[in-house]
Amino acid sequence: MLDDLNSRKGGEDLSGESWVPGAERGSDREVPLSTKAQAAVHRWLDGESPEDDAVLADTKHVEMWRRVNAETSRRRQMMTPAYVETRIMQSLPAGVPTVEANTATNRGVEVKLSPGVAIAAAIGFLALGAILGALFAAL
Amino acid sequence: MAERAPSVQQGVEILSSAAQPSAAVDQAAIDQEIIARVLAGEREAFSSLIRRYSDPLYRHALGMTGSPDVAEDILQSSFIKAYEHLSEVRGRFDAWVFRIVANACKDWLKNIRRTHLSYDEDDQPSGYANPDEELDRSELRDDLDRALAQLAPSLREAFIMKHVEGRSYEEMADLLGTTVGALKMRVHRAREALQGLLEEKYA
Repeated sequence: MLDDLNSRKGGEDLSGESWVPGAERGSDREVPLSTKAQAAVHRWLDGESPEDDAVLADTKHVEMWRRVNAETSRRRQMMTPAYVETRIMQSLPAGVPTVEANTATNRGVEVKLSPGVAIAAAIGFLALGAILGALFAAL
Repeated sequence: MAERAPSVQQGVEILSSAAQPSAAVDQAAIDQEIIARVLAGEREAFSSLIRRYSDPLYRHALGMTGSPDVAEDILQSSFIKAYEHLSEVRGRFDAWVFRIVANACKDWLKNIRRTHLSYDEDDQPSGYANPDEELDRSELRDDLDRALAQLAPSLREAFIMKHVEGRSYEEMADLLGTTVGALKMRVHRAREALQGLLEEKYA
């Protein structure tokens, strides 16, 4: 079966609970509740209040987040290596992508047969054969 | 008479300007034009879509996996998948292809049991002239990678989208199909978890 590429399930089905490495520290439940100082830092990091407000509330963490922000800003400038585009284009399947036709016409129909149904069908065919045989004998 | 869709060149100009709702509509129109060309047999037009979206998608994959090699592989397999299913695009191509990449990253994280993969030192140029500064940056970079690797994927994803990709909460909600409030909560939890992991050394 093909993946549902329009699915948004991926955004929701991997909660912290199903995550193994480091889950005890990263899960939703284990994170302590925000303090006022943390809330001030969040507001600053979300661009909702000036840095000065955050500094007044929590100087040491503001300094830490400045450094983290410098690193994340550096990562924001990263670009795809030039060869990747060529690699992708060379890996594309030959031909033009087409609208998938009715699956019944191009995939064949899968028949599932349980043992009970198979035995019943066999008995039915035997009975039918016997009846037809008797009819031909009578003629 | 129907208005003519903007050209690809115009699209590039729009991309470099500030994000506006009308610009987003134009972007979608340009994407649809490119998709129509690809589906009509102009295979090479697909490279325009790769060029338009590979950088933010690469940054997302790199942030989520912590490995340039894995990020490149995810980008490649995702674009191939997008090409194969191009006729199924409904709505915005950028959001559709983002979900392919995001799901591929989560699948990779689900399967992987390694928690530490760091950026290759030689992959990106350094902007620091001072060796001490470079050493500090390198240390923070590795520590941040290790800390990010300990977050649950949903928290890591939210943090990467907000802080590394620089997206607004509204944009994140649009791409992930969830609410701004839920995403704010995830970002805040991610920050608090990271703070807990990094503060001993950096605060």
